Amino acid sequence: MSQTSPPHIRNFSIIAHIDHGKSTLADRILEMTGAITQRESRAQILDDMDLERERGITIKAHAVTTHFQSQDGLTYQLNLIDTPGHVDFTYEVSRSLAACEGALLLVDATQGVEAQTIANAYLAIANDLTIIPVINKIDLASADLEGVTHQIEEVLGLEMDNPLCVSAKEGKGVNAVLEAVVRDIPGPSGSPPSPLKALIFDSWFDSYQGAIVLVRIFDGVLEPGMKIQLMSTQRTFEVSEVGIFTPKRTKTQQLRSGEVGYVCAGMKDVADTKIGDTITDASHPTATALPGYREAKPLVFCGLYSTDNAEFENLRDSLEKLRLNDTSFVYEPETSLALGFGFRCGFLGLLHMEIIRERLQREYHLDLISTAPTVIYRVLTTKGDLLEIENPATLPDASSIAKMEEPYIRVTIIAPDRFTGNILQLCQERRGTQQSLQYLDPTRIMVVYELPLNELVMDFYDRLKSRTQGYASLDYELIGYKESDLVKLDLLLNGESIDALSFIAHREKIQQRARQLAEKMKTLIPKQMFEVIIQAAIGNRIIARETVSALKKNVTAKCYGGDISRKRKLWEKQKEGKKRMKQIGRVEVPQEAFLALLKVSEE
Amino acid sequence: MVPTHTLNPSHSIYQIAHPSDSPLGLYLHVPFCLARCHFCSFYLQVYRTENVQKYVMALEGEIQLYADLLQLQATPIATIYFGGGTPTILTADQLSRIGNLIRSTYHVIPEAEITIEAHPASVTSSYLHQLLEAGFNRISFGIQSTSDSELIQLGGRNQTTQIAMAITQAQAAGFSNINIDVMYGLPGQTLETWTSTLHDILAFSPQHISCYALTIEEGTRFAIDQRRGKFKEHDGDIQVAMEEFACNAFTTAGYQHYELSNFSQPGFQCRHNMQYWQGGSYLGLGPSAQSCLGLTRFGNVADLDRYCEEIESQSLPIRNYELLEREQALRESIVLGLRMIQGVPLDLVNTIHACSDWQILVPQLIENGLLEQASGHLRLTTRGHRFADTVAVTLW
Repeated sequence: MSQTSPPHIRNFSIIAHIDHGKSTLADRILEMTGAITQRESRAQILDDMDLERERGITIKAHAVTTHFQSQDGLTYQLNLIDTPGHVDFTYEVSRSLAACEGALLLVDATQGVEAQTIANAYLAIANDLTIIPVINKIDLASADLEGVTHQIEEVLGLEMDNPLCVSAKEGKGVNAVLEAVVRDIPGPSGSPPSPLKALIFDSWFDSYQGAIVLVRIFDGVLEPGMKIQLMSTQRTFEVSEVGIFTPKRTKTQQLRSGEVGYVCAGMKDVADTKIGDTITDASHPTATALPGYREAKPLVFCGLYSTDNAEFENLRDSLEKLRLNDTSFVYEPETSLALGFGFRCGFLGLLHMEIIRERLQREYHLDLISTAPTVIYRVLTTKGDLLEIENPATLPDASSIAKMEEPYIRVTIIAPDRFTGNILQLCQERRGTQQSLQYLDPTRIMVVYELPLNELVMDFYDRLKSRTQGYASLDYELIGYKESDLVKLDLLLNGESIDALSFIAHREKIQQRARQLAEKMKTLIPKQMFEVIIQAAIGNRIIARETVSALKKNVTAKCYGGDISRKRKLWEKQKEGKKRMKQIGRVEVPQEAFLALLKVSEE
Repeated sequence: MVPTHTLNPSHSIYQIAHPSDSPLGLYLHVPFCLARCHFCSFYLQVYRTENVQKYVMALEGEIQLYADLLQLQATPIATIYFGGGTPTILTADQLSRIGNLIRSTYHVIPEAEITIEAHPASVTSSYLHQLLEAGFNRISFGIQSTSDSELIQLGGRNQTTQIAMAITQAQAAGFSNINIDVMYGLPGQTLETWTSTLHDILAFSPQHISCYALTIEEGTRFAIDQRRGKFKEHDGDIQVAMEEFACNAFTTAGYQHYELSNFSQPGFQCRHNMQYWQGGSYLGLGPSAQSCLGLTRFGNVADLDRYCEEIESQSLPIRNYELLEREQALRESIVLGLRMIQGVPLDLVNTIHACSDWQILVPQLIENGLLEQASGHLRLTTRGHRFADTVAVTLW
């Protein structure tokens, strides 16, 4: 196929808040440039995992190459790079953006600027991208063009003299967007003769070819037969195939500077293909890697156990398979006295955790018990050792702790101003410190708070949603560790400590949390043939106590023909339910109880 | 090999068969009442004459259908049970016709136990005589309580005076095998009123007493009241005390506790109901009636109109047909058999015990004090009587 010389290439992304129509606009662009037919566009071609589609979010990034005949008479190669659309994947988004020269900032005309609009716009600005604001859903009756235009100008400081207005759903205005892309976004710089410098911005596993890596070539040329080196690990591989997605995977002879495409090089482990890493020519390496690379570090941890310990190996295999395509999550075996053998798993965030957990249950048919999510605490012991605690059960005794630190985040929340009170109250309850509060327009506010991450993982999203009737949007970034007065709470059932239910919280909150947890556990543990005493303790000191009274009787009074038919089904169901309970000492504990911490009511 | 009978081709989707030499219990469901009691969740309709006529015709059709399908002329029918609903809503004529049809098409053994459930307020002395003539030799009165205020709350339209009259009349007419149902844990009931109910019914010296804990079933008036907070179940301690009190009163009066909820004078256990607990076969006729024939389990549609239509078109009104594995059926009959106070013969238990999770579970239940071995049987302990369902779920 003919090569387009670099000035006629446009590499760009679409960035938007969830549900503002990113995938629909992407589909329209691919349709209008002939990459796909309408029939092929199974509503949103870029999101190809079921889970992604169900949740309406994009987890994996993709890149599609297509061609656009502009009214200036030239044909442009457009490389549309999709970005993950969720707060947990900020780093991945930033690397996808780093592969581009420009971005379409898509804003829903009925919703206006939201938290992720802002977060994504800042990421694009940080990557020096040309930003083209596009207002979507102008076909809807509640579209507020003027208001949204004003917000984009005010909040993001972007010029909006001639705003681009589209209805991605109906395809209206999309052509003008493409003209703006070729007119306003600069073509890539860089030169083919320089040593190879290619940015990895996505990768996934293919059982035949190993890792398939998406790259943006900044300098040089990448072609089959070359020996390449991954700069973070210094490992070398031989390129077996390069190509582009149109969106069908299509082999090409080479990828040249300025282009976007994929490379296969017999990399068996996706862990070798770290997002943000630079690929160079092993025989003529570049002197400096592309900037911005860092190891993706999990922020949120939880224990995953199969209800049936015999399924342990299955769980391990499933985790291994999932990790092939997602190196940002980590796992290592751990043992819980209560739950047996399982894994401590680390995730980029809560959504990431939920996705992995759901895929394990759905795709691998595992029956899982998950412990409440926690963050990494830093502990300085009295002996001077620095520990990182990912599992509250492993926190050393209070007497040997000199000081503790916990991770903090900066949270940006945007919501209608009638919820201001509720939002401030929630942030305040969660140990937040207000950084700013501003009006985006006469009815919407943007609040910025600094919060301990541990408060965010404690069901913060759901609370925020319920206190704002679902109107609030949220984004956050990690800002570092701060010293904190933290204590560990243990939960005991009939005197036996349940390690899987231990958690760490701020001293001021611990009494309240302990009481709530004990009360919640009381509702989750079914009556047994004996009394079950639930206690919450700091060290040896019991600070909350509840009792599940003993079951007095469990017998069917009438048991004749019709009753037997009913009981047969009931007993069978109960037998199944019993299998899913965890036996702790003599107490049978249902799966949900291990997440009780997240379910305590605060209202 | 045991000779079995298979079905006509039109019914061949169901492999229903019954070995002709083992006795069969026959249950006939009469789905009508004058009003629904507040604890009742059985399938029934409020009485309307034309529906009853339609029902009787269909029931006769079904009797005929099974006679042909299972060739029941050869199978000994040892027990017949008319339950409901309110079987005594049918006229003595109708009942007699149904009885005659059964006797002429099936092989009812001479000493068969033939029971009818009766509504105390709806029987008269002459009606009771007619029942005896129609062949009924056992009558069961669902009286539940002898406190008028409790009876009103139950919604069953019985009064204590009618109850006393019905029982006395039945005895006078010549019924020598009478059952009385009583219930504890009723709204408004106290240990005192319960004691007086027990005292009252013992005064009639019935041959058989069924003593039930009130169970709140979904779809009943009580379930609704409970959700609305109008009625709160008695706490477990009081229920246990009521149960223990009753058990003592009955055994002291010479009754044998032979099943978790059933007591009888020696020799008067309900043979029909024992079919349910001892792995016997039973055929249920009428809407919503359940059957268990060998390894098959099935039930009739719980809808009078559909039931009549399907019978009319000569097809079985069966729903939820199931064919069990032999081991599953055995497990089931043992679990149900544990409802019998004497328990289940150990050699029967051991047939399962040898090769399954029972090897671990049974000793565990014994250790937990719910099961015990005695005189060649595995049985519930006295404490286990209160946790029969815990045992059932464990062994299921």
